[in-house]
Amino acid sequence: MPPCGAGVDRSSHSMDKSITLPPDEIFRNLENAKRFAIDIGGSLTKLAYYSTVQHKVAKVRSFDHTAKETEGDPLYEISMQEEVSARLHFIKFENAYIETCLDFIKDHLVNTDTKVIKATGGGAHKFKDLIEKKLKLRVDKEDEMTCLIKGCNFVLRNITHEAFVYAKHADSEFRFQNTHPDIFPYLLINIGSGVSIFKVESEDTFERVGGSSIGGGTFWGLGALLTKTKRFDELLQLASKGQHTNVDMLVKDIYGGSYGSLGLTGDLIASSFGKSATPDKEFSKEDMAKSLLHMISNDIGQLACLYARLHNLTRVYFGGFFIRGHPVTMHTITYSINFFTKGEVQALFLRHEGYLGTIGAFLKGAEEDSRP
Amino acid sequence: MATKPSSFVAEQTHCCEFKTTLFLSLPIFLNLPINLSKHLLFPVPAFPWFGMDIGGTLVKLVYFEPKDITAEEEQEEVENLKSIRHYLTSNVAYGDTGIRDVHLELKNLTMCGRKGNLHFIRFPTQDMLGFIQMGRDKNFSSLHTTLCATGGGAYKFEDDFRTIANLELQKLDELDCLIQGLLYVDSVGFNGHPKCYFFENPSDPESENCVKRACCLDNPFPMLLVNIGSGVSVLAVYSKDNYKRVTGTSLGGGTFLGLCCLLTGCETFEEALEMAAKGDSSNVDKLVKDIYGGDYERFGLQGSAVASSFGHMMSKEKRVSISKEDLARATLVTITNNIGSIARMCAVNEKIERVVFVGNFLRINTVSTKLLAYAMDFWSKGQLKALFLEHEGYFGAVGAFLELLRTTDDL
Repeated sequence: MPPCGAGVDRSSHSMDKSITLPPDEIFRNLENAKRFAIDIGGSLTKLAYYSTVQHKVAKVRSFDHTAKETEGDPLYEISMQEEVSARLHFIKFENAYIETCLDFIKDHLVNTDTKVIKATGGGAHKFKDLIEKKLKLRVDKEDEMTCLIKGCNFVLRNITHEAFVYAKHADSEFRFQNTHPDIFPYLLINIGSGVSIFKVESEDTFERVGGSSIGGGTFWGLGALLTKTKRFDELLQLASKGQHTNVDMLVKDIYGGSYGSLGLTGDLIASSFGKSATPDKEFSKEDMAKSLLHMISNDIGQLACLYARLHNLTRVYFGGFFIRGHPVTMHTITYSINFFTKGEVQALFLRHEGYLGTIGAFLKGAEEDSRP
Repeated sequence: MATKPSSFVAEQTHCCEFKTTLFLSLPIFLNLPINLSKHLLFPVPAFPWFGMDIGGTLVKLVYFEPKDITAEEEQEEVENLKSIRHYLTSNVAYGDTGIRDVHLELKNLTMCGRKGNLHFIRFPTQDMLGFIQMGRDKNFSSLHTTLCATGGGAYKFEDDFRTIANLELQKLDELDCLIQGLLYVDSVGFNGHPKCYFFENPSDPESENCVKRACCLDNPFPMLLVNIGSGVSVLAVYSKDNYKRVTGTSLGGGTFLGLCCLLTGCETFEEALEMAAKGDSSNVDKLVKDIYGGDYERFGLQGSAVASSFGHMMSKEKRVSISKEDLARATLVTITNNIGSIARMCAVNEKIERVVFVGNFLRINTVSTKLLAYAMDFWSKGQLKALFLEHEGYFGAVGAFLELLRTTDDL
């Protein structure tokens, strides 16, 4: 059974060279899954399931030695106990492999009374019949925006060190934030295939205020065209090794230095890919990937600033699977936001970035079930 | 040697007396910026008169061809000055890459008491050194003229001009020149033709009803000026001397051309546009309907809206099914829509309703101009209006040229 997480192309004759994780690792504790939530986006499907995990726990009991000592008595005792704890598991896979993965889940679902799966995202409409047929579960559609915001509010309030600030040159690159009861208002920028921008003012007051078609899908698509690299993570790897200055036209390429009167330093990018119109020149994959990453990250950062300014918000959270903890992306977005807002707006990233919608859908299901 | 200053002045005074009566009767003069009229009585700079804007990708040159040269003046005229004039005005192409935009020529202008035509010439910045060498070969420095230049290249190539051609550049700020140039061209008119236009019925760019309509830039302030060159600058202009650069983006004309070259193998801007005109980007981009199966009313998004630019290109089947033309189109649409989006947000933040788009990205590019008109109209629900100008890429050079006429202390 080909594991979905590693993304095997069934139609090809040879197996993919990427590392394949054994299915049990990816779909941990699937047998005991109690509740499912699925978020089908433009390129990726995100799944969350609640399951119990059995594990051994070492318990230590120390003895009281204030009484008179007896030779040979142990100082402490260790016992092993079986514990069952509940966990929320997260998986993502490309939409292209959805059927394969659904088959796998169905085959391994043993111990479940679950009848319903909560679904959100655009694909909830598109793949509803497929899911129902494969999993023999009823698909309960939930609104994407509601789930997204619900998930975001939940993690910000309940998961310690969920949100963090990235500072490339600081002692500790990642500055994790503590949970805060007072999280409103904030701007949420969800970078999936495309970009959606949400203003969240309270638990119930939120709206989509804008968006952009230049997002993760653009990086993936243009990256695939320019570098012939098909995997998103490989593109990110290429980007981390590239020199964008070979491809981009910088301010110093136009001015011979900085554009002083406007405060534009020579190293700023004046025109992305501005040097690649030379017909006989070849550019390396790494350089092009880096340029592309900068181009898209800067653009998103700028848009974030324009919206933050319009709505008078000083905190911007980034969700979606574009970022993936990649240092170049986080640095570029952070730098961009600092640059365009002169440090007034703070860029924050989330550890569960792309799973916000899934978490929200899951919570919706949990809420409904707990109602008498 | 150049003409002697004194005879020049005498000539001027004579002309001045003759022209005073005409000055009052010709309405066009009333639109001239006031400070120029002072020059009727003051010495004017020596010919030739140029204004240069050296950008990231293109060099824009304006050249004033005097049409009122008297027989006397012609006799005294230096050989290289005459040859420069003949070379520029009797050709429309220079070398392999220089082009004179004849359709933009401004005829019968009167500047500093001289009557003539203003020519608009462009060539790639890549060929700059060749241009400087030509200046050396034609002994340009002997003409003792000031070369007013703006754009980044005025700084970048300053030393080259000095060391190769013995020419001093008078460097000017590109945004100052842009605005002064724009206001000047608007004030003189375009040989009786409209120079400013917008699109009627922008909501359907493909239809025949989406037509170009002339308009005026009367009471132009405040305006949001979006200059799309290699990169983009967005300016909020409140008056002739009061403006600020709101922001900029690196996704500009240079990005379009660069990406297009990489994706399709094209070599020039014209080629790229030709391909884009024939392409269909809906197979390249992931649309809302590809994700939702239709419209997404909750977000107010139509199924035909682009959700993710190039979003289909991670799939191998899609990659082999699209053409170069489709890629060119997708690149053009992506860059244009992004600029439109940024322009709209700036207009809203700055509370300005009129957005003027200039820059050579829009040259012969109706796909982009119509898209920008549509974007401004659609996203603002008709509140914002997109305006375009015929001389789009040359305002910086015109502004530099105006500065030449303002500075008289070189004599």
